[in-house]
Amino acid sequence: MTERGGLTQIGKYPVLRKLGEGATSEVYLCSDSFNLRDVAIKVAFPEHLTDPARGKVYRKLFLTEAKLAGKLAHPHICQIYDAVAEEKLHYIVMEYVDGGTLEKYCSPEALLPVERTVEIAFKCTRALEFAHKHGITHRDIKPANILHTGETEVKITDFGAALIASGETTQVAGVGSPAYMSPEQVKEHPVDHRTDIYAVGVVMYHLLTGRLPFLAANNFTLIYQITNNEPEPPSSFRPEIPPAVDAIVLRAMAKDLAKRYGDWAAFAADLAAAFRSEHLGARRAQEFADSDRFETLRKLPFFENFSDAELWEVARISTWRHAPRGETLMKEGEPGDHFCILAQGEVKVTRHGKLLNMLRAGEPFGEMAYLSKNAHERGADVTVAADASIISVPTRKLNQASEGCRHKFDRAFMEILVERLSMANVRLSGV
Amino acid sequence: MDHVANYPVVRKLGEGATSEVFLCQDPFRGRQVAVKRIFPESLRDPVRGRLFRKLFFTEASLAGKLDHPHIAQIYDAGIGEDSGYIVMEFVPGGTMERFCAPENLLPVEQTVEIIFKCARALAYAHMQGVTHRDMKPGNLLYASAPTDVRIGDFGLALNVGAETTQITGVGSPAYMSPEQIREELVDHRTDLYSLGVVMYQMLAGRLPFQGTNKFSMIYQITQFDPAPPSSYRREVPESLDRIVRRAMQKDAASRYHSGDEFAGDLVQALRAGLGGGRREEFGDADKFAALRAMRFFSRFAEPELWEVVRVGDWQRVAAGTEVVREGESGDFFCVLIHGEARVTKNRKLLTVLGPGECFGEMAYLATDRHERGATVTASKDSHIVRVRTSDLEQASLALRGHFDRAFIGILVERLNLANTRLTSG
Repeated sequence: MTERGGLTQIGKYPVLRKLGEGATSEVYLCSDSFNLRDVAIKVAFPEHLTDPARGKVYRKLFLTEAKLAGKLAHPHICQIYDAVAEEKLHYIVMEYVDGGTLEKYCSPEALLPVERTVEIAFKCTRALEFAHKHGITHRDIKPANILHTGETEVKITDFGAALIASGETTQVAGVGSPAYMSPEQVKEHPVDHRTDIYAVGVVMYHLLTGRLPFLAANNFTLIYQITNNEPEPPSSFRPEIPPAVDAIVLRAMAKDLAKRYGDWAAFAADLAAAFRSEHLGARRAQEFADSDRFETLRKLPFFENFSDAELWEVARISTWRHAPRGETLMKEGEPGDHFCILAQGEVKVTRHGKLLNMLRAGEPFGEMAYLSKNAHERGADVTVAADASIISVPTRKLNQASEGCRHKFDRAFMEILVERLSMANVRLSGV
Repeated sequence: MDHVANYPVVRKLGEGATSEVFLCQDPFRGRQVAVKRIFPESLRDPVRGRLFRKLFFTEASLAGKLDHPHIAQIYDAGIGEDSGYIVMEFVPGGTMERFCAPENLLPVEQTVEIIFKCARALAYAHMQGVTHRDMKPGNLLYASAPTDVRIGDFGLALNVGAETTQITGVGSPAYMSPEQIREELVDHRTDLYSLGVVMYQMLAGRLPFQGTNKFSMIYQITQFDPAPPSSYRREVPESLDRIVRRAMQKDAASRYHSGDEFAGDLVQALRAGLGGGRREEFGDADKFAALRAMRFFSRFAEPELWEVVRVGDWQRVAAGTEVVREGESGDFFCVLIHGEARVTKNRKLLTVLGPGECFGEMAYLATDRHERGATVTASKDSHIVRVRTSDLEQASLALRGHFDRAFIGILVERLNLANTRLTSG
């Protein structure tokens, strides 16, 4: 068995430093000289690696799981680049996320604002829904498995690895805590995505209150509580938590599967609604938060064919604002370096005072700045006709976005152009 | 050997002086790959070993960025205490060495096709700042048919071959340019010279310079002009003799300046006819050159143009043929390559199309099932490329992106026109 602790080289990757360790694994920061990037490598030290018969089964399982998890490409899931199962060394090469884990926000003196916790939970629900659609249940959601960078950017890690690193050993060696486990998982009943829903509920509880929903002197009492007791609502430990958020956490943590959220979409929708609610809304630093943007985009027909990952990209590169009735948004002849999509309200497009078009929510304008190869001058005036929310996308930023994202914009624009062209042709032939 | 790095070996593919190549399994990505293992001797030298390590990654990363249908892709590279390895696309057919023997030469046209693809691939690599330095038939792989060629070992020549070659005396200078033999600084034009030698050999069935020993070969390469390939194979047209001569100029400045220019001459020779009578089929080089010359494809990158060559269905249509019929449902669009076509609706002429113009694109643009709004008839004997919308949906994101942008350009033009008419009245 490989020595634990002092690895200086893992396969082809030189070790820069150790990032952390768990009961059955260690994580190292390494450099990948071929792809010119830093990577995090998790080395697994399962007990039965030395057992020749089980070792082989284990290796196969390890690779199967890693391969499956490797297919998850999502902005809020830590990407797996490679997995190696040698006889003596098993490791997974992953995206390196520099902010650390959410564990640091779990103590009462270091809590995040309520709205940020809701935001983080929202992103987790979307990412886990994405994984669920790929047939993957995480089974080990906990603050230590949620990495973050910056304000509210999160990346869930250790997909599938849960099974690999701890699944069996947990029960054998009693390693790890059942604190985030669902009742059905504790009872070793078959589990599905709803076990992850439960765990996200516990993570929310922990992040909101700075304490776990169930506290016990030992694992056996804890297990009893998980399966039998109802937790206190989070607001009893932090009064500023609004009832809506209490309700979400308690519903996610319902012991009875019939009372728990049945799918991720419902969970996410409640989070988004809570976020928008007046109570949290009044204290929001940022007028349009990420979850807000995401939910808005998701509902606009223009973005119908965009994947979650692409929507997050749009949310990130765009700027959002409200515009009152009468405001001129674009003027003919002005240079254009961005286009807009109307999220709400109405705008009118005129040229020389003549009405060209009246646009409603979901429709783009000023897109010629992006679509035409040379002319970047506005061809018409755009004025707000009814109080509007405007999403504006700088063309420079879009040009740097992923190929997939740009492709979706192109397809969406194409549809609109075809429609407008046939409308124009009808009008021309009618005159 | 049952593993190279962490790749389980399926079987050994070959061995060279400083390395061996294995067919391996990539268990994580579930595909077969060719893994080249570099012998530890090259790494052990304390002074050179360090330099080697640094160069190794610089070159491998650079070469790894080359993503082109006629370049064997590099997926990964690693270096340990005493061995290095490079993971590459597995190209199952074999190498061009097989087609260099006089009794096994390919038809002249096929050879031109292969050299054309190599010249284009070199142009692409050179644009990215990567020089091959070791072009030879053994590094030209093919997948299914010989014309399905891939240049292998890109950018790695420096690490593996160059220095060791001179120390151990392994390897032949047969494909080296004069400047490379003189150990001067070389640039991308050394590859064009070497490709010229490969072309010579594949046409003539012999090397341009044959010495009984390495030194006599070196002498000839730097001093003599070779006899034209046609003196060994009479069917080789003069146009190809000229191309080989230009590629193999001893003075780099007198050679082709770029793979682009080299490829351009090859297509011209191909179009002028290689002596085998008029060709009914379109060759890949032909198709590629035709696409590249069109405005519609002006923004398509090299790899995507090759994809169009593959995805499109190339047809000759006689004057009078109806290509698209009004009222029929359509699942393809066309680009007119050569000739002329008339667009009519209810027998009324709407417009006349020339080369580079597309028609039937609404089949791709409209989201629902589409009915043709007009009839398109070839008014002269024409060449067209037909692209089925379902095939395009399977194509790479990059290719679809380019088509979308091209169509958007057309739509924008039409809409601007319509809006001007609407507001000017």
